[in-house]
Amino acid sequence: MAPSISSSPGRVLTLSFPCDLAAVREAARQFRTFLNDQGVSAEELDAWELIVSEAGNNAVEYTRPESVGLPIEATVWVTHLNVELQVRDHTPGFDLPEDTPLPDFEAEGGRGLFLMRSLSDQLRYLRSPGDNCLIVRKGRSGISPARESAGDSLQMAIMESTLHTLTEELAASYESLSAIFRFTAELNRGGAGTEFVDRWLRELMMVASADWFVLRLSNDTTTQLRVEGISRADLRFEPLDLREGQRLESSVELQAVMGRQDMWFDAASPTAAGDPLTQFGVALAGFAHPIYVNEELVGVLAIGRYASHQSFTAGQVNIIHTFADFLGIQIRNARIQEGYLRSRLVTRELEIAASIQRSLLPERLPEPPGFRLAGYSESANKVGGDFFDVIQIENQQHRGLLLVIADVMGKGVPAAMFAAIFRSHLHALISLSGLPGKLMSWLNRALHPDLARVDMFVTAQIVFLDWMDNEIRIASAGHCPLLIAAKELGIMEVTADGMPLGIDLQMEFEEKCLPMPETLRLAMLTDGLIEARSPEGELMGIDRVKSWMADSIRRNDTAQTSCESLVELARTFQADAPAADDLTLLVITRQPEVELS
Amino acid sequence: MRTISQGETLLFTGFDNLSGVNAGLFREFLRATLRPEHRFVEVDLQRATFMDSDGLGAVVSAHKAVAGRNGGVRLKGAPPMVRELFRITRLDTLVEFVPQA
Repeated sequence: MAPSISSSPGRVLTLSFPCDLAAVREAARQFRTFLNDQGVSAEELDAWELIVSEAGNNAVEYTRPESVGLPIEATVWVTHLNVELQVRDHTPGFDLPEDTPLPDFEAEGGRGLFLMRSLSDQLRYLRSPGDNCLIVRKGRSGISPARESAGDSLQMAIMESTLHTLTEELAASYESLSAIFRFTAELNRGGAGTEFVDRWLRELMMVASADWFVLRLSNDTTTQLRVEGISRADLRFEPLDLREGQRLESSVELQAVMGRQDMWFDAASPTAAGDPLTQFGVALAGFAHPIYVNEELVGVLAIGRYASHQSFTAGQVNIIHTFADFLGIQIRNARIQEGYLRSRLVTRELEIAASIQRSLLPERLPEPPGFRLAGYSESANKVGGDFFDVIQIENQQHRGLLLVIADVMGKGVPAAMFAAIFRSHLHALISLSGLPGKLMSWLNRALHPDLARVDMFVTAQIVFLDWMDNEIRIASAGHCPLLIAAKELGIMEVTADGMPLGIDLQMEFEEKCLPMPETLRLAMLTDGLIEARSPEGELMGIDRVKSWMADSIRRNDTAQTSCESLVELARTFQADAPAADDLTLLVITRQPEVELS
Repeated sequence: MRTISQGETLLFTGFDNLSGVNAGLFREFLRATLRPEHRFVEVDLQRATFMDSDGLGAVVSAHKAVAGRNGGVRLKGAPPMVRELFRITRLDTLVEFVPQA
């Protein structure tokens, strides 16, 4: 049967012919004649006759049985520079490979695609369930000057006829492009939020003449696909689990994501009974398109029609791909931007918390007669849980100096918050300052409910230098030892029994009492110093700190230089290794020549 | 299309193209008319102007039919288009091109 010519203005020829090899042969001849009339060279005519024949033969040989009665449509465009052929087939389609090797020497088939690729400059294959479109393009050569001149004079007519034929494709492309431009402009005013995604997909639904859609996005850990946009608000879709063990056959969306390719469904291959998409209806036609950007899963778009026989055309599928992939890029960019802003926000919050923490430390240390004090506190993170305070007490019951050092378990903002709470309670209980054991017990009772609720604890040491009774009174809540150096005592570690605060509500803390020597050097530490490690992993230990104290006495260091040399010891010992814990210390010296009243 | 037995040669003649349209017919003729004494298949392409990959497949089937007989396929008077087709697909060593009489 001869092909019917449906359109042949200017340099475009469209032939519609039956699904039959003889009709293909006749169509190839007609295209050859047509191309010859357009001034295509003899060598190119041979190539195009072969290309049309190969494309047409494939369209016939692989047509689905139910589509044998449908005609095959082929169009050739001739421009000044190119010849392009489009053949629409009704086959199940195939994945166009990037490379087409020649088959085995003795194979009797399988050379058609190789030949088309060898003879052309560009070959594309657009798939859809309804029809597929093979596009072959080849640059022209060997146009004679006379032909060229004639071609020039006909240029306007050619353009007009070409545009006429391409109206539908161009209209769709225009819709797609104008939508992309509109939404790109909108993106500059904000991120790819839910509202943006919804409007974008509704636009796509209109452009592609779809009836429904559902877009799922992967979560931060890429373990689930959650619905971000859906055409019907009344439907409820549970998240899809991406972890192993999920039954793939139950969801075409999952199959598309796992297989990294479009998954189609229609009357011939419907969705499984339990597939979430069946909420849209039983007889559906459409596909699920996985959205990957730079190998990173962004989500999956399922889109379709209610009638299972109304599949998308190749052009519509192209538009859906463009929309979905463009949306994927916007969503990914928005996520990156959001992560960056979140990180900046956290940094800012930490800076504020660090500023608050610094404000908890005494602005100036008191300098009672004969005593000199120096303190140092540094956090391993921006914000830490170490804390010290020094309060000079002058009331009827007590006269002396209250020294407090504490270490809240953990680091960061939560630790800093408890350090602030600790300080508040301490100042509220200042009347007990002369009795460190009792003060510690009250602090424990005050802090216990909050600490126990979040499974945290605080180690603390309270020292009261009582110059009415000339005594040192010490209480400890699981804190590292206090170092005291005096002529009469040498260098000694002093600690008192007591669990950290927040462990035992009923805990009564022991109070140790020592006579206050005339010459005194006292160091209150946190375990950040004792447990500091060298790059080789060696522990600082209390003995090194004791040696430092001996050296400091020998040099007759002031409290300030003594404190600085201890910080220097910690830094030198840790070398370039990052500090694992906060470091806080308090050094107190008493000069013997000063007379206390 | 018809075949003529000429001693050790089976001659195919009478067609203006070897393509999807008649490649199947070529194979049927080959199966029906090839005798044990035929060591060569000669395809007369003097009138042919066109061949496609189905035609190539038909020639390959003829080659396989006689290759075990210490014979081969001869293409007689093949036009440039057909020679180019065999060259592109690297099958030009499979057959012998013979000039037209």
